[in-house]
Amino acid sequence: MSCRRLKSWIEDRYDVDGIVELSRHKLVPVHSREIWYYTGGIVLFLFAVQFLTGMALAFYYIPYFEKAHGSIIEIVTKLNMGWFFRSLHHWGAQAAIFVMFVHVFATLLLKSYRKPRELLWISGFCLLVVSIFFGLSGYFLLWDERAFAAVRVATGGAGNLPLFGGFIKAFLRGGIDVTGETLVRFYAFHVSVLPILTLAIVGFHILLVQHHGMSVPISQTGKSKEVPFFPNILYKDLMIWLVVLGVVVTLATLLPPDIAKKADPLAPPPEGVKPEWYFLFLFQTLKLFPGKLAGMNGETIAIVLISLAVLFFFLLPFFDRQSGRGNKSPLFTAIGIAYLLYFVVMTIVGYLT
Amino acid sequence: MGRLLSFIGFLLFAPYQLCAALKIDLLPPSGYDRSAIYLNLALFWIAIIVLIVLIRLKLHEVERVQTMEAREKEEKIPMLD
Repeated sequence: MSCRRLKSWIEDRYDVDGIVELSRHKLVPVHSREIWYYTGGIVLFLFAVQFLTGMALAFYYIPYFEKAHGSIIEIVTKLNMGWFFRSLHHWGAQAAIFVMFVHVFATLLLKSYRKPRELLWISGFCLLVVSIFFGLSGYFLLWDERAFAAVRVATGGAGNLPLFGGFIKAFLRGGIDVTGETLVRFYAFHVSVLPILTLAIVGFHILLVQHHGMSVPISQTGKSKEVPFFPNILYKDLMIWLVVLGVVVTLATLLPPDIAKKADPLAPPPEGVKPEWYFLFLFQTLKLFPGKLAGMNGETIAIVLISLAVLFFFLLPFFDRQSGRGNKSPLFTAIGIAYLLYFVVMTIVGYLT
Repeated sequence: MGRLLSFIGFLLFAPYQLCAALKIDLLPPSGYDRSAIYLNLALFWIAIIVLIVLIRLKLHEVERVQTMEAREKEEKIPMLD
């Protein structure tokens, strides 16, 4: 079958030209703040890298507590390019979560969440939560002593939530304590539940972006011009993706993540163990609270306060009525900066102490 | 006596062996393989830079054509006296 006949065969069954036409006529606003709008595309690209490298690793990983650690050592030491795929998966995850935080804070400070884009904010926030859980579940698959201690702390923290805490903790752990059952559970989350959720949320997010079009910051309204998405923006995206790929590959090559001692559920947690960098601000916040506060468990109070702060962050577009009307809202800019500063400062303090 | 010596030997060297077992080579251990990896990384960056330059040139060309078309369209607009 010639190429033309194949094209017409497909054309008879689906309107491919319609999609091509749509992409040709799709216009995107360009303005002085447009650089922040590329972070969404970078996250999408990094997700694709994660899916590919994750699939390659899944062929060799054994999700059983006695073999998990050994299978990773085999991937790193015996498989051809195994070390590279594992390292790329690790650094890809770090980069995806970092860029996602940048994307969230850029959206927050540019007020891109304002009416009618509230659902974009909600879906983006859900995607951030899913990605963080991706990170935690992936970290645990190593089955080394640090990952074991980190998951014990994280699931224990979730257990301090009032009402549903106990259920969440038991559901995540698959029992009373972190065991081999937890490993199987986290593996199932990491390779089936979370990828499906991610695909669904990303699809919904992109559909909404397509429906509403790119937002223009309030300060740039009337100052921006429009350019076609294809090829102008796609070419710019490609250039940025190439640079991101270069950076991630360089990190994967020069700084492969190490593997600690195999986890021993009966051993005490290793000294100086710290969670992944995106949990450091929570870890540091928990440290600020004493064991007992006003006769109550200090950690429970901390978890409740953090949950309230996260809930407020999640519902921010519904509180910010001013930007919804197209007016500037300095109060919410200040709130956004306060959140950003708190996150950055607590992460740095957590890293240094 | 032999047993005692081997027991002492085990006590002396076992900790080192345990530490050695924990040291995992995260990159291929041989110097030749490592130099090949770094060389490939350098080539990879060169390829990225070449691709970026090509895309940038293509983008310039596209933008030039788009500006020309827009100007042509503007010139064709009938003037109102």
